[in-house]
Amino acid sequence: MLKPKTLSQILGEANTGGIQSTLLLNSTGALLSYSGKGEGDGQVIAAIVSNIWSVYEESGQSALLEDKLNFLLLDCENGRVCVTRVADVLLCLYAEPWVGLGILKTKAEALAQYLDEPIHHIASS
Amino acid sequence: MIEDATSYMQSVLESYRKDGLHAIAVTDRDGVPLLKVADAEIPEHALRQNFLSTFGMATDQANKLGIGKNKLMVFAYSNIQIILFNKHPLLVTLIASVNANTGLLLKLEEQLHSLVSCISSLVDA
Amino acid sequence: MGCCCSTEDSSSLQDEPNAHTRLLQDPVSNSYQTGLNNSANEYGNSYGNSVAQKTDDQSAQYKVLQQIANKVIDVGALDCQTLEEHEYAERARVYAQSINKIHIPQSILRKKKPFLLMDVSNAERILSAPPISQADYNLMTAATENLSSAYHTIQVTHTKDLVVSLGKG
Repeated sequence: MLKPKTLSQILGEANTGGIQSTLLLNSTGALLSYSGKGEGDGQVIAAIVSNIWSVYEESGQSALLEDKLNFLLLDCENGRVCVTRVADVLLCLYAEPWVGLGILKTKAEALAQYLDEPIHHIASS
Repeated sequence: MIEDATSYMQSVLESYRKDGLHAIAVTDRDGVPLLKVADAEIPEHALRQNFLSTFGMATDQANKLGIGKNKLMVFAYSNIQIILFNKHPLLVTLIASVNANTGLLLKLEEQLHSLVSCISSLVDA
Repeated sequence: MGCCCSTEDSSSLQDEPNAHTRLLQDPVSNSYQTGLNNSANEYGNSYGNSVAQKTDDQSAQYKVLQQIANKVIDVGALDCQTLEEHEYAERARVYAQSINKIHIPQSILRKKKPFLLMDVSNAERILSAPPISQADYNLMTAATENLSSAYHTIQVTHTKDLVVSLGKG
């Protein structure tokens, strides 16, 4: 199993330079781990983005013949969100609106790369 | 006049074709196109109404995240990326290669803004 | 479930609400009409000098319902919104006709070719000026290289193991 406190600390490493919170959630939007400010906001964001993700993953298969949605970036007036897949779960970063989409995506990729093996290990065991 | 607007969109598509852009669609919230240009590399279903209409719903859901109005979304699949600009009451959808320069394509919003604003009066908000 | 619209549809009282039950039907039409019906049933005869008050109450209720409806996120609707084919074709036809009639200024349609020095009055003086100093050039190069290496070293700092190996016995 994964150590919850260590997992939260790892997610928290991304919370610098305008990134408010980092979340790990399953495909149904349930929060698995969280690090950041204002947990209530994180849960709402997690639920909605997971729904958008799952619909577009399905749409991609039927309309685009694409097998995999890799990244989702959302730019809103008061914040930016980046979502990517790690094994069977979703990693979501929520940032201030002035944070560059590129750095947001890069941090998400770095976290996803680090968490991929442990989470795959747990999923397969 | 549609020929002028369409040929303008076609010229924009031609300008960015080498950067990996394959299609531009300006639609209402239900995915009904006002202007649509594409090259032959687009999968047939990518510009159908039932796929384009999901973007309108996704934008509406993203508006409820609690971080302000959604401005744009980027979906990156294995081979294709989709960039969506929320230009209420219209939606502008770009379909490009996943290796295309996303930052460059995001600048297209400025280039298309005037034309999209001009024709937005055709759609009920 | 006790929400403000639970009395609108009598069948909703009988059926158990589930994940697909819509709590709010169509706040634009249903609530206003139902509100009127309910008030007539509840109060019996509607007497004149309270009609204005009821209208205010109903419009306030309508506003509240509208606000709530705007915030409701209908997760079920995201993947099933498809127009009827004839409606789609009709709308596309209307749009095509309307775009034919709408006036789009030529200034928008004309493709603008970028002129790099169009706002520079004395181009020869600028172009013949000495280039940037070697020190500036070195600064730019060093800064760019540092940025590039910093970008490639963005990674998680490993401090503790994440996976707990559960010992046997």
